[in-house]
Amino acid sequence: MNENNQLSDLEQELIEKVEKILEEDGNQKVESQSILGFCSHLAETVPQARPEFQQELGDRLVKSMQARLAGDLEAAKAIKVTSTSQQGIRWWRNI
Amino acid sequence: MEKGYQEQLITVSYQREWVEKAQNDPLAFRHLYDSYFSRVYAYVSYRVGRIQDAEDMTSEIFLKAMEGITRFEWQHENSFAGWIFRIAHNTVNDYYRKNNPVDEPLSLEELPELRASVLLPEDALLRKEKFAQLRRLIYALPSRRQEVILLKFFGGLRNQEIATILGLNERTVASHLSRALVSLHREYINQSNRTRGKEKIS
Repeated sequence: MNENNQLSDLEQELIEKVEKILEEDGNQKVESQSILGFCSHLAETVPQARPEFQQELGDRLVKSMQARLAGDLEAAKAIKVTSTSQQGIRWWRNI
Repeated sequence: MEKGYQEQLITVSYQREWVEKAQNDPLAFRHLYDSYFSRVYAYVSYRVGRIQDAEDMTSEIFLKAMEGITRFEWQHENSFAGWIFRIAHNTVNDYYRKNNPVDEPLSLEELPELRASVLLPEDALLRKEKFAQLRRLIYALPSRRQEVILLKFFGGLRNQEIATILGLNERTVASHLSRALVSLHREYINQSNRTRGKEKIS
């Protein structure tokens, strides 16, 4: 692989335009077949989590942190051990 | 991207305050979690593909962040984002080191949902196909370029933060980024043309 990191003017221009696309959340109007159109498309193809997963994980983290701060190391440890058990890291599913 | 640089829930000027508060306040930590969750999940999803793995990895990343936040030291305005994504990057790498990844195609049911947008098909399954196609294209790139693309587009990081995470200089990150995009675009167009050619034949 060529590791030459000198940017040509065209590459520099591309980087600047990509920054702009990302700042504007891919909402810029660009020709769809162009490289910038591809960048907009890529920036828009965003996986999103199941809302219940996000909620449950957040709740569980708060409980775990509360237990740690209260010195309840057993509770905090229990969460940690379960989270790295051989069955996987799916402790949040065991609520 | 769900949150651009200017639209993140926590503006940079308030971020330091929230990060410091989160070191001993679970609700402040929850606020940080809500601010970074979407970016971390999107980055991880591209790296691991399968929804179940993405959820496991995301859980582990935030668990590590919660355990480590008391040791986090603020350095500059983007250091927290860099810190979170360094954890994410290392966690996924560790996972792949311990579990030899099997390079098998994933069914659409195994893939995460995609955020609806004006540039994507309305049908959820077609959106998943787009994701699968882009992910395959990204994974055909050299590993450094894959990482740069994912941290840039889905982590929403600046080149300087990506450089720190990957142990590169900023100019090298920019070089990887531009060359990766040119390769991806070329292959994307080639694939689209091949698909159109097949449709015409049939």
